[in-house]
Amino acid sequence: MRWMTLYARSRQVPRSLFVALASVALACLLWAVFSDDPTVSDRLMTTSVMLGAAVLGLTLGTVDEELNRPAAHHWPRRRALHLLLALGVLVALALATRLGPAHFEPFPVVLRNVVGLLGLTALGAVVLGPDLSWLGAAVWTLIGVLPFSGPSPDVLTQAATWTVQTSGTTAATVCAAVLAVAGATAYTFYGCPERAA
Amino acid sequence: MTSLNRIIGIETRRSGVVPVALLVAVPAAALMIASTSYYDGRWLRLAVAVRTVLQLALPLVVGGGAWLGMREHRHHLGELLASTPRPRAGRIRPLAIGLAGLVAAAYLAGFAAGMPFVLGRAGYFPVATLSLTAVGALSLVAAGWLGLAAGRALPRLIVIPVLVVLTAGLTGIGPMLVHDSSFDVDSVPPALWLTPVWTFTVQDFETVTGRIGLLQTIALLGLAATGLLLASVGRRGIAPALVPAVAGLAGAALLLPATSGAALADDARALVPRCTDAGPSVCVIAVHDYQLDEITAPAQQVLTRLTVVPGAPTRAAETMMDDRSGLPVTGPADTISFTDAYATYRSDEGFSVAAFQQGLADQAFAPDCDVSTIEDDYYLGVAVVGAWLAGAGSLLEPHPDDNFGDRTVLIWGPDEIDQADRAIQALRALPEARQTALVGQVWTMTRTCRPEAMAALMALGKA
Repeated sequence: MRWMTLYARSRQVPRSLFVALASVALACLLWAVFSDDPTVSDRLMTTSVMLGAAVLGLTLGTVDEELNRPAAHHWPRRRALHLLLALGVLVALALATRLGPAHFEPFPVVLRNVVGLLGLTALGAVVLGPDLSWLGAAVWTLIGVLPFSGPSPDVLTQAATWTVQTSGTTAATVCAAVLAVAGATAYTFYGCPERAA
Repeated sequence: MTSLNRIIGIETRRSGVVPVALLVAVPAAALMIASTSYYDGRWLRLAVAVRTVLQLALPLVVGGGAWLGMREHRHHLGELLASTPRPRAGRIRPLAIGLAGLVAAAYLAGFAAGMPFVLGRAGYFPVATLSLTAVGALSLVAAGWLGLAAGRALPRLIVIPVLVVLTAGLTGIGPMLVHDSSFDVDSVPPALWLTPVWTFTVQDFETVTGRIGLLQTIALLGLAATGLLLASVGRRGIAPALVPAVAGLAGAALLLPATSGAALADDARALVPRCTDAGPSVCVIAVHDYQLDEITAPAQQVLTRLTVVPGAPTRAAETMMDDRSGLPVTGPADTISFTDAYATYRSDEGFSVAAFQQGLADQAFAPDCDVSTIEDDYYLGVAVVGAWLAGAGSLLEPHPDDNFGDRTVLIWGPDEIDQADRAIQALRALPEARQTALVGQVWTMTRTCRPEAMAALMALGKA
């Protein structure tokens, strides 16, 4: 337990959890105040989920990876568990919105976006390090929420704007699944890049 | 000055300014190339499209600025630099100038990526294009400097994604959701004109008034000055540094129009007709000059066939759409009116000549009376006349210049298409003189509001 506490504190997990919670709560609050529709706009939902994935992405590494690695721990298992817990947090937050007046729905779309964006963030952590791990997810999400992005019959557009495609859009689901698998695999086995102290 | 330029160059290369600018330029250019149908051949639309892409660029530049602003803290240099005699303002200036120059250049790169699709095609250049572009570039400078200040004030990595999302929400997503829940432009709060991200719908023949450019410039200059000051000054300077932003936003708020719609006005120069030099006259409005080459031949084909009908229109001209009926505003009796040909008859597959010609026939044979008394058969008859004017043997037959079939037949069921095709074939089987006489008869009867004229035409297919 002590190890868990130290691990979470070294990666500033509490602060990230608070921001992820605040992001979802603020999106729901604003939607509940300004709209009569109980389902939060997909653009607002996606952006809120992206911020959740982004701040949890900051916890994927620590200030000194080089110092961490030689520790006698099975890091791949711990990294996979970390990622799974992050996924669990985001899914739980999305499901918790059902208790309030504004919901993140439909669930398959929310789950697809959570899984895909978290995978992309994990991939970012492997390539750019935890500090900028969120960059790819932010850029892709912001492209998806542009006014001229939206559900489209064109497969390329569906992939480019997968975060705002409707439930059951194959290209969007495949895109999210590929990002999730690639991100989870790369992060589990390689972790964040080592940096000098 | 040379020394400062050298330092700016070094700062720009060594800091993260170049990646920040690339982060804007590359997606902006890619998005512009992917959405050419929105603006091709039209300068103002190009400027508006790049301003729409600000919804992506502004948050990224704020985030990038914050990343640069926390550079000293990230590398634990705060104490070291605090002990040097060079004031902070002097240290931050080269970075701020480099950032401003490159993000403005990145914005212009987005504009430049769209230029090949407009340059050489557009025959009309609205001056507002320049102000829209300048304000867009200025907004990125302000965003970068505000980001620098935020990064310096709150040097925590978690701040950056939060800033990115807050900026996106405030400047783009929020206003867009307000638009989505509004019935028309005037039900949208005029305050939405304060955001540099373009969120309004603008018609090709409209322009944005100079007042909007002015108020946005005032607001952005104030915000940029505050951003630069906050990034440069010490604790005591924070309150005075906020003055330009407050003054700029207050000044801009005073200039806001009473209604959102008042910010857009018809551009008289965009509405000047441009006509063909040879053959039956075909005209478009100046801003659609680039369409004239493609629509002239199909329109002239219809007009030429119509010359055999006494009193029928001899020219075709683009007009505005009637907001209530959704049909073109009718002009003189000798003119077939049509609205923006590309907006109406062009899809991802290209411009549908057949559908355009059918549209001209619909308009030429529009009943000159209360349309609520007209039955569906009448419009099927017009489809028959349209096919005859275009030289088509069937409603399903595409025009030779089209590689796809669309005579707007989707509105008809298989039985109706079959009925119309039989009528077309029977009409074409008649002697030429009889064909023109019959079409002329239909034309005359529609002028006197006797829609039963079509019955004679459709009866041909039943015989």
